Amino acid sequence: MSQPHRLATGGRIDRSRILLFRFDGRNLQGHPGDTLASALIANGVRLVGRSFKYHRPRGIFTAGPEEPSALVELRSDARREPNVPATVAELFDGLEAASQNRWPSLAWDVGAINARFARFLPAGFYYKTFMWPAAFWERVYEPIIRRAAGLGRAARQRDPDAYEHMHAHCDVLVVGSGAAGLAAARAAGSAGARVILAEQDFELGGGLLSEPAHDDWRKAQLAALREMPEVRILPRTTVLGYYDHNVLGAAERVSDHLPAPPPHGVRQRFWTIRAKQVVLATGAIERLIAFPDNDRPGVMLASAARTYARRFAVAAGRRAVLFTNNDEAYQTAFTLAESGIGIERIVDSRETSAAVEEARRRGFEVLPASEVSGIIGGKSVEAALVRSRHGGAARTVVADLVCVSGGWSPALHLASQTPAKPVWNEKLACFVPGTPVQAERSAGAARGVFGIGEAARDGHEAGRAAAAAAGLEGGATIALPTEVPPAATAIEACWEVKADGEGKSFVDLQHDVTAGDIRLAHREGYSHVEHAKRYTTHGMATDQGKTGGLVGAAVLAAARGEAIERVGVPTFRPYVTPVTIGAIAGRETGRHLKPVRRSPLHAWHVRNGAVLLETGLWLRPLYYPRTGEAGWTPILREARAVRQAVGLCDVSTLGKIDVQGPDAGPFLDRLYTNTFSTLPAGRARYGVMLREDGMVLDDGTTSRLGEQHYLVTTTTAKAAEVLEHMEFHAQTVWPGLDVQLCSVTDQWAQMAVAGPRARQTLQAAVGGRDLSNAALPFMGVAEGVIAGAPVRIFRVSFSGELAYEVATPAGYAEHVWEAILAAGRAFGIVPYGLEAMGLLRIEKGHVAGPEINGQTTARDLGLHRMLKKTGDYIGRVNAGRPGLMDPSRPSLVGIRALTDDFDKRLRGGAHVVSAPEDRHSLGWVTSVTRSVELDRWIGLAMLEGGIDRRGQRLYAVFPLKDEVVEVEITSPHHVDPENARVRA
Amino acid sequence: MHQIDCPWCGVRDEAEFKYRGDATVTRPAAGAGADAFHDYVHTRANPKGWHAEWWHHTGGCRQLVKVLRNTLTHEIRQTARAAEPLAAPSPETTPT
Amino acid sequence: MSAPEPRSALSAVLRPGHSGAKGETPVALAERRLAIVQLQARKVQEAALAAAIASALGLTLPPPGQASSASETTAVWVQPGAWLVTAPFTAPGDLARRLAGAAAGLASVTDQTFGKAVLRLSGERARDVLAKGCRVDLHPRVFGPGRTAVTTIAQIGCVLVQAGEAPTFDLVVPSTLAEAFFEWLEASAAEFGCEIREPG
Repeated sequence: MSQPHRLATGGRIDRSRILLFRFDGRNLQGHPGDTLASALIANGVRLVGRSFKYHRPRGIFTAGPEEPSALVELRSDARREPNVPATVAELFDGLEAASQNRWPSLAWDVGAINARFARFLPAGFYYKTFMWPAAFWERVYEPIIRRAAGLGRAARQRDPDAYEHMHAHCDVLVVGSGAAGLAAARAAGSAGARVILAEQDFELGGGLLSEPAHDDWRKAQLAALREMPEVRILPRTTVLGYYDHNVLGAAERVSDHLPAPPPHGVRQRFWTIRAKQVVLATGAIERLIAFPDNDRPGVMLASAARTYARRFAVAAGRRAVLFTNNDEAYQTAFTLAESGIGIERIVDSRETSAAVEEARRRGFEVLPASEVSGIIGGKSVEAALVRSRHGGAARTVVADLVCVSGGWSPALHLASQTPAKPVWNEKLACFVPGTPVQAERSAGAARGVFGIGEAARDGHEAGRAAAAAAGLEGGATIALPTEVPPAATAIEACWEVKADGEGKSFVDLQHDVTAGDIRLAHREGYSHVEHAKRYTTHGMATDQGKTGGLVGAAVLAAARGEAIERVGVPTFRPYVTPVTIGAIAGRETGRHLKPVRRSPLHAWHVRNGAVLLETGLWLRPLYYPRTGEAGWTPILREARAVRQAVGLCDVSTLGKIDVQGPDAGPFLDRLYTNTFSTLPAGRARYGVMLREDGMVLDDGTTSRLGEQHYLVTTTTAKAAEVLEHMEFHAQTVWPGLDVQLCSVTDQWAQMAVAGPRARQTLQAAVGGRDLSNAALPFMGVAEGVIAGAPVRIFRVSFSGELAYEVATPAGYAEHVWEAILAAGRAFGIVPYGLEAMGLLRIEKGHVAGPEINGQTTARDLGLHRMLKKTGDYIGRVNAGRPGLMDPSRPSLVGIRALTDDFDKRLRGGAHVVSAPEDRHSLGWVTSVTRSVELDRWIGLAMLEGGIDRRGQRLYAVFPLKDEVVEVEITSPHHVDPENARVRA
Repeated sequence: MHQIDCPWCGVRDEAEFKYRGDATVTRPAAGAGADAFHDYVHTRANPKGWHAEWWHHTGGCRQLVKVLRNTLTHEIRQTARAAEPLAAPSPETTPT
Repeated sequence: MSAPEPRSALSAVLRPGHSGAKGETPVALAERRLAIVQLQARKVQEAALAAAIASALGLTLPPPGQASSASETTAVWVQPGAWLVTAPFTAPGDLARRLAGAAAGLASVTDQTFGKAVLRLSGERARDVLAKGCRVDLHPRVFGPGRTAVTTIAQIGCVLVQAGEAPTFDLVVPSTLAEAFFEWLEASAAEFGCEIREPG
């Protein structure tokens, strides 16, 4: 028979439609409106998983996101998702679910042997046992533990779905849509506030969904809210973090209730909500009581059994025992009885109460001053052991469902993150939210105001007050649900039933932590609640101990002999419930992790077969291989063309900053170690910039374009940092200087024309303008026109050859690039990429990122002639500290392999030593390349003794790869040390 | 998530800012000597409680903003333009 | 020889047509090809600069968070004492020369015509599209036509200008990041659908 535990009537399910789903390969049926948990119950499935540590059989314990036991895997292949509480998974047609943490099958699980050895697996077991030998941890212990303990399996394939972020602002954020939340949203909304109402469930109403008598009120509130244009209702949205300055994070499960997201839709959405005021109407969570075997499938929170009956019309059992310490839980007995479920006994830990009398009047068998001291049954409850608290033998009560209520704890996780410290309420036997420290207030059960009528009233007041605090007074008065509270006798704390025997009394079902483990932690000195938490892992599972956290704290308090308010509860942290990495990442995954920056010549590079590389944000051409070329071949060909003829390279990525104003020159004098105020207009100068601590920040050429106009060029990598460095000093250190800064990196495309034929090439491209040495000498700057586009021509050289950099407004990049290529064709021009550029600069001995690494001074890099003798500049004083002037500091040299065998390669990061076996490092290799001029491996290195070692024969060793290469120490300038070529 | 009231742009998310360090130090005069420059770069009070800091609005108006922030609670009491002074934090409100 | 037709940073990706879902309320997206100049007042010359620009172009230099227009020229506040001025593109450097002439000695002028790309997004759901990356509140109660924000959207610096009630937004981004920004915008608009129009 299909759905044997489905009640004949009632519930919020749509019986007219059947949904087919599978659990562990079994074909089952449910209805729209079901969760996976309610559908499993409907089908009589009780055993749904194995526990984390002991592999004990587990069932469904709750009806909400606090679920510690019924964690399952959903879907398959790339969409497989582990550790989803069956209690929140919305049923859909075709859903595939599987139990987890079992092998080979759920019913017969080999790992359950852990339970037999439980006495050897106490709290702190891993810390104590697997300390030594250290190497064993990685190779032996961890793999075994990982296989034996744990939860579900994540998908191995790439997630096929899209996720996104959403930013929202509101006057009032209401978290939770129970009676308090609905009333709060309505009150705030009617005052004109911009309201966001977030509800983790797929249906709005919270506890009201199990109260058919109040359904009309619920519907009326929702209808009214939907009429308000400034109220945004977000179902399936869990607010899971309360951060500084009233910013909250929420995860919306947009398409989790569908087999796959619709076309162009996302799976989940992460909301960042900036709220002026927040109303936390998160309700309360019923607590477990620690008694032996309180984790057996069939033991369930009392309110959950009621929710299953009322909201989902399923019977969690046929014969039930209720174990309670409070009056409220009697409603479960009454409801279950109405649904045709037999109530075998009501076991109340208190001596007497109003509810005891009421229940007896209704004909229930009530055992006051009694407790459940054990469970008979392994994979399912078969009977409860019940005994008097005054002593005597336990009797067996046959039942398949044991409903437990240890009282209610406000869901104050968000409030405690604010971080208002929770305060103990003795009357309610629970912690309630502390005095707010952010712009928030709790309402209803979330602050210990129980009962639908009372909660609604409290929520209404909170909503109104929140709107007023956000500057929106007034609003309509709304009808609130009336509820005559039954004359209730107060709860009496009952945390644990101690009994002899083997049964484990769990305080944390998900992490398999028992009351005994807590006492052990105390005995071993881990008595602070935060220490006990870490020692036992109590509350550290994905449910954060929502059903048993306070119980564990109470057990600890008893062990310490102190009141529970002195022990406290561990700090709650985001996230309130687990969130997928996908939602947090949003669209920032894979290639979109960071935005990709493209040169204005990018399309040309792609069309012409460039091999591209992401460096920083930029996508840059490495080289332009010709058919059949591989490895170093295209790089060497391109570099050789520059040394022998002419090459063209896209250097648009260089940072460019316009520095203008009457004080531009003096400003640059303070920024650079050398002087720029004396630079004539139409000239460029190489400059070095230090940080204030004396280390080199960046280098580059700066040109004077006009009396009050300089153009600073930075390296590609440091462009943003240099602009920020300039802004900091212009705004805060020398605010009196009249200087204006503006990044023009994107405005100008820039290309290097380099090689002995560079002048002829450029002359042909630029037409009439004279490019002779006399007209445009080395470090000269000129303007011109190429292909009808305006250009600036800078005679600067990074390659060490006769070279020019041509800049044009980015919209004309391709026109100018193509015109130069056309003009250079007769001279053998080739485009060259980043690799050849690196090769050329290493041959020339120009420093770059590997040398300017934040730990080198101008002196270290052989740039000390750049340090002016007079005048202040950033880094001047600290660069003169003795440690930075120490002549034994490693400084820049060239190194050259003695062999021309390219298989004996030099590597960046290799150490330089005197003899192959010598363990004293004299320094390290920073940059290496194959040289086209010297036909061998060459490089740059930072070496003790520096250039004084010129001519020495040393060894570059790379022990990780067992490489030893004999090298000669040289000047860093492997090519043209006299600088004749650049002036040709 | 800090919400920083930029004196030019209004309240903006901390993601638009870069932290730029202690705003209580002043660059010494050129001739102040090595100790003064050492202190300027390296010596910090690292207070627990109220602290004046530079936050650079690089993702917005590119201005350095002076922020009076509590390093313990992350509360921001005041923000000011670079040229403006911050009100001195009153010691009795400094959390201990 | 006059300048050739300049190439836009978006020409490789922004092709007229429909992208994303065939929704009932698609947004519209088009590139605006404008001349763009950054105008930065010299120290203590802000008032004189404002007067000079007002008399030369009839354009008011707006306060923080605002834009102002005169005929086809618009000024958007971007930094204290600094504005982006836009006008229809004519020839390279034209607008910069005009402003440099008007603001001689009062401001530093930097051409950004090709340093920025401008996307115009409009439609009922434009705010919802932007909310996927924009942290600034664009609700009509606190934002509106003529209002601007210099902010960061999807990790990309953006000058956002509300150009109309529809709502219509102009999004000014660095040209080397324009393609990345467009990719984000297109993906974010996909659930509503996006009509990509000819550049204007």
